[in-house]
Amino acid sequence: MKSKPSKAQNALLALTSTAITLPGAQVLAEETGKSVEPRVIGVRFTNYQEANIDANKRNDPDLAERYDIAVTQVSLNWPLSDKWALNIDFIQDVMSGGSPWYVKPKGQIDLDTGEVTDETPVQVMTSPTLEDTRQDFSFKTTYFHDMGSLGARLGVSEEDDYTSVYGGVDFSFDFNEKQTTVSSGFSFAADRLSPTPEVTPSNRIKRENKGTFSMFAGVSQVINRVSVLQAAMSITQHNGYLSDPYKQVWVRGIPQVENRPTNKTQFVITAGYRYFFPDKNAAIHTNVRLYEDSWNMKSETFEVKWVQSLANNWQIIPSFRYYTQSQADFYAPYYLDVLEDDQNASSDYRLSPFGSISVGAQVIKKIGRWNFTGLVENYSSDKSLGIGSVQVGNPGLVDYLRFTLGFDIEFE
Amino acid sequence: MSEAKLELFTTSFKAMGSPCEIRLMAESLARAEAVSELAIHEIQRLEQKYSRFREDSLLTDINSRAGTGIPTPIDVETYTLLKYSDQCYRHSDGLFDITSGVLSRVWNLKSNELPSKAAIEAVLSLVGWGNVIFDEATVELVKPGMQLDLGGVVKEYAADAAANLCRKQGIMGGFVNLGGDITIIGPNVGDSPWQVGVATPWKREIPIANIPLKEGAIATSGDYERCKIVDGERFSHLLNPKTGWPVKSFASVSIHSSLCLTAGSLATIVMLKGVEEGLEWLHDVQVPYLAVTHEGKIFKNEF
Repeated sequence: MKSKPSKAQNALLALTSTAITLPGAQVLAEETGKSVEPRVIGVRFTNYQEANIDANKRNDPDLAERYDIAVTQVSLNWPLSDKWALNIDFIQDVMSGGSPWYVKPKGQIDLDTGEVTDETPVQVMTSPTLEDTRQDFSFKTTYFHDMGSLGARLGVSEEDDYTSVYGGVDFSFDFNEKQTTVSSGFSFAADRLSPTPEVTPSNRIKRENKGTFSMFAGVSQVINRVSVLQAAMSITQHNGYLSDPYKQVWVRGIPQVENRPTNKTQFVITAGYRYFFPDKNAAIHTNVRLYEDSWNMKSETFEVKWVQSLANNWQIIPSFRYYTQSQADFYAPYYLDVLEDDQNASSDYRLSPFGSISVGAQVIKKIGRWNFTGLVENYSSDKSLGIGSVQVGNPGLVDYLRFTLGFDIEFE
Repeated sequence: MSEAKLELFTTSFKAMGSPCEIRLMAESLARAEAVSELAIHEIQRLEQKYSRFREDSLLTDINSRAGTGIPTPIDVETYTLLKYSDQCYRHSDGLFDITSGVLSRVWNLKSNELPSKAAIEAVLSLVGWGNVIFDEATVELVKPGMQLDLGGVVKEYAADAAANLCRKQGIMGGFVNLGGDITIIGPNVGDSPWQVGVATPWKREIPIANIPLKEGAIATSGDYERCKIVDGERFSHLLNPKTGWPVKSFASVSIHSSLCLTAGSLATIVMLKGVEEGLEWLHDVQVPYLAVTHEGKIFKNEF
């Protein structure tokens, strides 16, 4: 026997791995071994353009610009045998522009009475000269056994001022002739923040840490030939410095570093349903996500996608997502009174009550071993979509337009 | 555990234009007949679905829409056969092309004349796997007049599917033989191998070799029976999709593999490659084979 498989031997392997997936050969599959997945390299380029802050929502007439983010993703799915697979992912984000800094009332405050002449909140932006690059590299190895799979991931994410090391283990088991799949796992992250001194006011932190631990469990059930139901839940615990060192809060006329609690517990429940319409050659995917955390934030997400296959290997996927959340209990756009004893305060729009609607469309075209994809998404957020009736919205709520172009190529 | 006494039962029938037989080790004639009937039914189902010569077949549906821009809906089985044919195309450098069946129009085996160059050129323009667009849901032939011919894969697949079905019915020993393409269901009495005869290309009733097999499959591709002779020169029914001309190759090539389908495709690819290149490729693939030239020379490995 030769030690290295030749091109011709690969032919036998490739033909056999396809042949055993034929319905008539299904039992033989168990005898001849599992079909080997193709090796795939995927590349994606994404651009997020955050809309400028409206003139009536900002403090400075000149500072309106927000982030442009360019994301490059390269992923490699490389089966090593019918038992082992390796996944390698690389992501680079290049951010440039300005970021919401703090929110203040439009009018003047009378420190004796705590009253302001105009309570309308306005956003103070940083100058649009921020630049940051994040690089994230991770690899995952998966072992496929007769009843499911076992996977382990390790990754590192680096920015000038931020380093995260993360990892996790997950497993899945198939039952019921693969009609039911149960999966579970845990993950962790250890992060170090070291804000860059040149943009750091003197009262900002020098170095802090935070840690994350998360567990999940899920089940996927094939209901019949055309529908699948999925459900999952997760618990995540964050400890350490959970504030954003670049964000400030306005307290009685004085901007100061924001301060969030040093721990947070998150609960998430998700449910998904997929239904395939054979006569329309299309499928509907719906997902619901419910979220609650120990900062008293709640959110709900509803998402629906229509996956339509067309002639000549085209696919078009319009999508709609609705999201709504309530505020964290220590959040305020600004603070007219002295802070509570715990000193917790944040005016980050992400902790404010709001909701969003995003509408997107994806197009996929397969040409031989190539899969090309393009995606456009329009995301807009507003206080009126938040949970409950929101009196004062955060002026820093973001709208963005996202474009993604990419391709996957399959290898034998 | 006491073993039930098994007897060998043979059912002969005709399917896919060939004499066929199913041999089963079973407890009774009734059981052998019941299982054979299911297996034959499966073979007929595939013949009905993929025959190029039946008006009610899926293949006729697909072929009749060639060039209209209307895709034909397909199921997982058809999609997988197309994907499989695509693999064959790629791994044979384009020699194994299921659109090449149209070439047989000009190479009429019954006529004693060679087709004109113009006729070959004209029909050659309809050959090209690249003009077949398919995905999980549909298939479409781009040019009017194009045709898919799954004759080169369906008989072998049917042998595998029928044998598989017998196994699912609890049959532990026997084989399915569809015109010389054979899939073993399981070993003969006392776990002994079946003696599978490979026909002598020019004298089918006499085996050129008996190959002992307990599992897997054996398929043969050859051109001895189906060819035409013009001015003393023989022209095979196996046509090169690139030139439009018959290939000059072995009299027959038999290959042993885990599946009849892969054995058959490999044998066809070797035939299309010709003697020299075919032997080299066979050596590389490292499958057991037996190849016979028209001069009667036998090449074999592991048989």
